[in-house]
Amino acid sequence: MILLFKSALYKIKKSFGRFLSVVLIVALGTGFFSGLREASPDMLETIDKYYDDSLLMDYKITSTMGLTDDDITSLEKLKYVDKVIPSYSVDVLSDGKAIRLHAISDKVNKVILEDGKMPSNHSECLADASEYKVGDTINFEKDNLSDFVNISSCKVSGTITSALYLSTEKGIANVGNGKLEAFVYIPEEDFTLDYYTEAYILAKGSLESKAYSDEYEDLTSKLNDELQDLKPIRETKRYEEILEEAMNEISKAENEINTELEEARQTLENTKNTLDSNKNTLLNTKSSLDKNMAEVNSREASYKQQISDGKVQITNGRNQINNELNNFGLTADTLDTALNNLKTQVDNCTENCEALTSQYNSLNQVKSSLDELNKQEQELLSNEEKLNTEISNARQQINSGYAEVNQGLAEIENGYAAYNDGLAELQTKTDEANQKISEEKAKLNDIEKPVWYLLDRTSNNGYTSFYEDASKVEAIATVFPVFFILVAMLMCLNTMSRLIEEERTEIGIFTSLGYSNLKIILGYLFYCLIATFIGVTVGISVGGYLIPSVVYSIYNANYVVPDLIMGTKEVQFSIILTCASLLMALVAIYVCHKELKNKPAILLRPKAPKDGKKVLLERWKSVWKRISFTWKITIRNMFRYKKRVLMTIIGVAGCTALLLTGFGLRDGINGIGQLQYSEILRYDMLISLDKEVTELSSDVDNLLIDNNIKKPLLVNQEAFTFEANDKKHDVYLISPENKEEFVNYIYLHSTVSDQDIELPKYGAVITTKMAQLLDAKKGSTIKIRDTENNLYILYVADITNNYTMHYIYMSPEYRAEIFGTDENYNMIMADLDSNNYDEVSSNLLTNDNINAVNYSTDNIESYNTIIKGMNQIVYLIIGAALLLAIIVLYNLLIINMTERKREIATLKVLGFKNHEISSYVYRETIILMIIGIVVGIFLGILLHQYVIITAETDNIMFLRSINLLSFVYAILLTVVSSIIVEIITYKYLLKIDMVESLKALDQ
Amino acid sequence: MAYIELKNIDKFYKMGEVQIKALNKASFTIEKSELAVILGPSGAGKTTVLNILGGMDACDGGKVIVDGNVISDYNKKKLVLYRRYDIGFVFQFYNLVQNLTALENVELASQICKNPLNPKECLERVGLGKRLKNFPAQLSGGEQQRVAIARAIAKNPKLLLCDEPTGALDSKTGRKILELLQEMARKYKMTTIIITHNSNIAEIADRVIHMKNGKVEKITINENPKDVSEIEW
Repeated sequence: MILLFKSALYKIKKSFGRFLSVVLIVALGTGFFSGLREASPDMLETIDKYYDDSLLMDYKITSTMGLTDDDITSLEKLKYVDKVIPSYSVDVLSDGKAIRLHAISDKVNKVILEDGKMPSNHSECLADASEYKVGDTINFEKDNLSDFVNISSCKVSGTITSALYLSTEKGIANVGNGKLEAFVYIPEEDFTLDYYTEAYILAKGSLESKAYSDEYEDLTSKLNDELQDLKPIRETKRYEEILEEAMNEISKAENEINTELEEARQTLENTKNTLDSNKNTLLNTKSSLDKNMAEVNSREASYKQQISDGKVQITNGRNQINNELNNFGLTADTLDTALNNLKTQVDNCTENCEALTSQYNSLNQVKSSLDELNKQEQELLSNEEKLNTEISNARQQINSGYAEVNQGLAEIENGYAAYNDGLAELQTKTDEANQKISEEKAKLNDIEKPVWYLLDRTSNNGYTSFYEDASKVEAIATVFPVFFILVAMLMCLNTMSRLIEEERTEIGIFTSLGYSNLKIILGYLFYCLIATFIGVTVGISVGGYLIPSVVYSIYNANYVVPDLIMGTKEVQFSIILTCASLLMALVAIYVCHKELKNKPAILLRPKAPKDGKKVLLERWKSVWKRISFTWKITIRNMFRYKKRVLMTIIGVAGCTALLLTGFGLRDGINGIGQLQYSEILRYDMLISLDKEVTELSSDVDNLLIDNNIKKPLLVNQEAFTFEANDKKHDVYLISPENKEEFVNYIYLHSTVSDQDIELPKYGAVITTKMAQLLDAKKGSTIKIRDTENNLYILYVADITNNYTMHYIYMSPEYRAEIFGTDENYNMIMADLDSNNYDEVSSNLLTNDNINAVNYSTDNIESYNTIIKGMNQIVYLIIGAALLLAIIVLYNLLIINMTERKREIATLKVLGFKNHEISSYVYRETIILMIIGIVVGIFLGILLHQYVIITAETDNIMFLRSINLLSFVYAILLTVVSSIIVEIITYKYLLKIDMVESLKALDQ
Repeated sequence: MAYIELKNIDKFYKMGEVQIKALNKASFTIEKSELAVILGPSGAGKTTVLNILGGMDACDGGKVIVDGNVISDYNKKKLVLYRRYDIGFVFQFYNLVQNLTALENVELASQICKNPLNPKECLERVGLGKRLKNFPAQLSGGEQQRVAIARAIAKNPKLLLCDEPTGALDSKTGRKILELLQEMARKYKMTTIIITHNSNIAEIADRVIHMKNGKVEKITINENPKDVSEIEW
């Protein structure tokens, strides 16, 4: 027994290369298998622990109208509910970016502190580690911010990660451009809301069951049933509360308005009364004035009569006097002179004086009458004047009285006008109030029932996709190792049968010495098992740890998750070891058994060499004749050693296929960053506006011109969701102001007609992956929901090429048709004639209307960082493929040469030159390699297709085609690896001794 | 000057620590067109002589001259050409390429030579004109050896070296092979060397070189070599 084991160890030592190749192939097969197999469970184990450690909610309840304490109490009563934690959150803008504020809680969704410390006062907060640093200050902007929180900024005391935000894509926000950029946790006291925005539920038994397991699904579906039952009850209850409250409010308002109106009416009435009495007074005054005026007039008339009578008397008197004077021959003017003359005559009179005196006396009498008359006339005139003055004064007085009265009346008229206006106003007001009240009352009917949203963990961006990614690894894990295991098995079969055939004589000797078959088999089994054990150990300890780490690091780029926890490998190790050992043992026993069937005597004789045979091609004489002699040999040989030929082809084909898959995967992944962000999304920059606008304001326009920004195009971008395969997906709907210019910025290429297209008037253009997820064709209709969960149904006019994320593009016309508006825009797409990105950004951001600036080149860069990890897996595949090819080819070539040692030695004796011998031997290998490569290319295309589809995530579509250069690389590397093997084996070929040809066949 | 001349050939082999003298100043000559037999028991150094003469191994001392060329001075490259153009080799176990027909096995050799004989004629010469397209597995041992001889002579070599050509054959078939070899020498004037431990075979030779313990014991010349049919087996 010991001797047999010793002989096994000697065999190992004798042909260590062969042993090593068996070990390596086993290691490669099991390493790849276990590594890829373990990656998925390790990932899920890690994530489950993360969920458990952070007490990730199982359900989140939100309501369109918030949640009350009653809601919470009724939730707590549910059978499958362990805990209900009411909480708050609100989306706000911070420097133009949408962020979500959460309340810190240690009962649910516990955050993991990455740096810094917990907040020590209410103005400190914990912030998303991917966006903020300790010490940063975060400002909040929102209309009526104080209705939500009592702080307007916070200082970051610690940075965190949260199991609620697994994905680097954090989801949709209801502010800003709709893309949630970061999350911030603030102390619960900072929220000022009088209702809860959400309630988190921890289900009973959730911690004990593994995330994503059937057990967990079962648990949550039971909880879901309960919640579904509770949902309508609470919705109705809340609705009634709200309705009652509203009705109370309306009637209160109605009362208030009515009282107010009544008061106003009263005031107006009072005013009118005052006006009326004033008017009366004024009218009275006026009539007394009229009376006065009449009196004045009559008095004037009588005075005037008296005066004119006086004047007549005076005139009469004057006429009498004049008559008398006439008698004297005098006139009034000459009277005095005459009188004086007469007087003189009288005084001087001596004669006849009497007559003279009497004349004189009579004249004197006339004169005194004249004087009297003049006096009277004088008096009359002065009286007339006096009277005139008096009357005119009286009139003046009366007239001013009139003026006053008229003014008063005019004022009162104005008063009336004001009163009438007031009345009219009051009427309007009353109408309005009535209108408003009836409107409010009507609105009561419109009060929507509050809607509860029951959100399970799948609403958490990344929760489902993480699982899917992990499953994808598993899917790839099932395909890839099949190659390795298949090849490993074939290799072992080949190697073992070669080993045993070589040692026929030894077996014969052992048998003839009386060793039992079992013992002989055990010897080979021992050899086999040592190889298996070492191979499995190496494979699992390298591949089993390396591959999950690499895979996980790849996914780390898309997720914010803790470090990978490696599961223990003992169980796996023992299972794989058992399986591998069993397989290897079967191979060994099968081959041994085949030999041991023979009697010892036959075994001791050399094995008859394999017969030569004509190949089918030889029947076709005209062709066969033309084939050169050495080629004939090669063709015959290829058909002679079918097993080896098959193995070589499989090995080479596998290698080429894996390489092609690897390179193709790299093409598919690497190519899309460039394609997506420079060939499909052709704009250089995307400018987010602070507010929705209807047109480009002139200051923004000027700013753009100043910064060399060309051809700005207003677009509207809004976030929507659609549901496919029971999963919510985010999609951006983009609609431009001008669809002619739009095609300059978004390259629309129909995958249906394979032609460039424009935005259709009717219908939306959706992206490929979205169409695939929805199974939508040109002409189907799709459903999308906005952030308020309103449903819209769109007609699919076409499907366009796209690689990352989902988009819906529609013309302004169609947008108007669906949403009733096409006038509001929140983004500008533009080209930039400058490389000073930072400068342009900061210039633009000084404008209050501009929120954020995003460059396509940045997107390419950030995409490239994400996929960096993916490349590692590709290199892993490429490395493994090369190793596989080298091991397989080496092994096969060595076996080939060992088997044909005599033939080769004979050729040497016959005087074949080294190059002739090597071409004789290698020509086969080269042809097989070519066949293998051809087969491998086809196989590789299929494998690549499978792998790339499985490796795709829901919002990324890789390029499905393989670059020509990748074919070249795959072929070249395969050729290079076989050349390396040929170089290694060439030495072996040279070492074959010609003396071999002289030896007996059994040596 | 003899056609083939070996002068004081030494050959050592190292077996672990011990040095074994396979040939110790072995010397002999063979004339053109002669049928020579090198005779000796196992371990006498026959195969070493064959290896050296056949250009498969180099000697550690002495001189080997074939047709005026000093083979012992040849480097590896020259030895390949020597084997290629000057030597026809017949093995004990035929060493035919199993995957080639009789004709093709002959062609395998003839195609690399400067002045080969017609392969078909060679096979006809060895009496296998009707088995051209048979594979070795379809031929008896004797027939296979004939193919081997045809392959050797097709090269039109200066020297036909045969290593125990009848060793794996029964006496009747062996006789036929020997007849054939004798015919080659006599009829076609081919210098032929047969290596054997069978002293009966020596009787058909023109020259017999007796070897023992790495030395040439004696050389006998048969003035009248027997026909193959005359010898006892």
